[in-house]
Amino acid sequence: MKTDNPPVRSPILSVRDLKVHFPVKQGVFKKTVGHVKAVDGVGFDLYPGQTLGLVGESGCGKTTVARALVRLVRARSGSVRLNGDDLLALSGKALRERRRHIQMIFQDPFSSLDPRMTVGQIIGEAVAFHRPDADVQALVLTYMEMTGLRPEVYNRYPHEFSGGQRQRIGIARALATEPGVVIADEPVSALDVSVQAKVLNLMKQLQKDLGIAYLFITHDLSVVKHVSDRIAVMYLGSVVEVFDAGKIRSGTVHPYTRALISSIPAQMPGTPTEKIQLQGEIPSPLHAPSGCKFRTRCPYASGRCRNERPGLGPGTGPDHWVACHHWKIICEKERE
Amino acid sequence: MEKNIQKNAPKNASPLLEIRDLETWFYTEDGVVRGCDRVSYRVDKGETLAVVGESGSGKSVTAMSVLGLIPDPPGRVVGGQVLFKGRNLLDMDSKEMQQIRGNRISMIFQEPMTSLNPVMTVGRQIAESLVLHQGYSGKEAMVKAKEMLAMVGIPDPDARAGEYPYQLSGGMRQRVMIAIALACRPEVLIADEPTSALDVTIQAQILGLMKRLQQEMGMAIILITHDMGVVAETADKVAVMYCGRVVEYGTAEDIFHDPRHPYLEGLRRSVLDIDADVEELYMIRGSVPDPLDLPRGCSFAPRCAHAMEICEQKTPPAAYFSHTHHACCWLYREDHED
Repeated sequence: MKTDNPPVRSPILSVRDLKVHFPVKQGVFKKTVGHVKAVDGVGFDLYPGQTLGLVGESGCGKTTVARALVRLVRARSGSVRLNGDDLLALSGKALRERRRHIQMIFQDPFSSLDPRMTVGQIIGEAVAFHRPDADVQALVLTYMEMTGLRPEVYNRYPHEFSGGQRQRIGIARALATEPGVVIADEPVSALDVSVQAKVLNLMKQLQKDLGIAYLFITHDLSVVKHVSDRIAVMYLGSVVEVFDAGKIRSGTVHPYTRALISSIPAQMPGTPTEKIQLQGEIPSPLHAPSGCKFRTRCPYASGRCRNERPGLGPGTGPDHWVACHHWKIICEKERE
Repeated sequence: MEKNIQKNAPKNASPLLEIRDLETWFYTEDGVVRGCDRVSYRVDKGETLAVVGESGSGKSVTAMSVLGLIPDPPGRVVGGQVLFKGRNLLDMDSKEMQQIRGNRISMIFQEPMTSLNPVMTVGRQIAESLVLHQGYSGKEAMVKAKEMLAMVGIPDPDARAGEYPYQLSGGMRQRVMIAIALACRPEVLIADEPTSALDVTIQAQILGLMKRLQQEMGMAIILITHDMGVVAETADKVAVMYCGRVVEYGTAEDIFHDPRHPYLEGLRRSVLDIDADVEELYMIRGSVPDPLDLPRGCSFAPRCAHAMEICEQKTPPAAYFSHTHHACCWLYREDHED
């Protein structure tokens, strides 16, 4: 008999129990009076050639996760294993070498490109550093062609380009060091829909051609559903649910995920949509609630949620993880 | 004057606010930009008109022109009419305009952080317009301001009224903006991307709030947005703008079930639908032209799959499909041979 188990694969990027806390200082002596727990125990696996979508509302810590992975901010604890090596434990030359394999595309195509550098210099800078023996100009031109930039623009400056074109420059820059993992932080949020479609198609095509793994960070659920294989939902510094992107409508159980998905506007007028309207707003991460952080807005909250923080545990299937005490009860209620 | 409007408008209702052939030009160093080029639309009592388009299409310029908020220089309204209950707002002097703006017609701006006064408590910002327009005393206005805060769903309004904008979250600030805009019970509310800076769960709350208040107060809403999902959810009528012009206009039903203009079709197809599985997203070819160097004829022609010879020569006039639905495209005009 055949088994339905997928072949054993090992993740290219494996994050465990990542924590980033920012101290809050007050007074003349800048005494630390508390911590903002921006990222509070995040873990996930990213597989080669796949896309993991990381979604959540502003302030939930998704950008801080990205910045901690590439060590733009210091993590308090946890591990980030890239092909087995813990990036958080490395330093100096060893770290610089690994950085080539994990690159980032930033949200704002206007502020993330140096206005005084030409396109060729921007894309070539990291290439020259990480691949010293390569013919930089030839490589840059190859990646420009791949991302749909004409070779004539090699000596142009960023201000001469539109938002979509600039994002292509950002993508070419990230890909030019031949990374295995690319972290894309809201890469299309600043773009109009017609331009957004072009950039998303380009990113998908490049993934197919080059076998890159994306960690795709966004607040837009329609975008994340389109690009991802799996989706992780964050709330106030923690991952609350991980699920297969194809099951976005049917396969989620966490009350926050479901509220988030139900609040997406329908694409046709008159479509009956059942809105789960959440009460209130995300609490400040400085005064996060005890126990389950979502309990202050959750219709199913109980005494247990107040006292005990639910960990991310196995859910309904092999690729489903959820952090909720009551998800089984919620599922049963829904079925009735 | 009143008679004239009655003659031209459809017989069923007289419009509350009607824009006719509005032209706003910007005189820049590099040349003239036609920010809004012969734009016409109307909105009736209790109705929501959505104005959609991508950045730079002229949606906000049109709205700002209605309220006389175009910075001059470089901008100037050079033609057309803005008729509010039959009176042309463009003919009014600044004193008369002040009686209208923020009182009968008010506006919610996109960025709640930069459009609120940072050194004034939110309570006073709401009270200000009540004192100015409705003749309230300072004390009465403050009581009313707190009522408004409660109405837009801000918990503990008595305490919140004494706080400054920086002490509030984005969603709260947008609620304050709505409270300011609605304090004088306006007849028309212009909302310029009111939820674009907000998260989806908060967006759902704000849109729900606007709908509820519209039902309670019967005001007309002009909703400026780039999000087709928001349009589908809220609009009665829709104006689609491209390069400063309205290229299609119709009821929500018309726009979503019977789109005619190739640009609208492209726009609808490039929107991501969470319930659809598509390998590759639809792309409109080319990109938005430089506003200083618009193509002759139809501005969309260079990107249009159906472009004909005439499209590159003459601006297409409106083709009517019903008395509520029209598109400016030569495809639907029989007269393009001549």
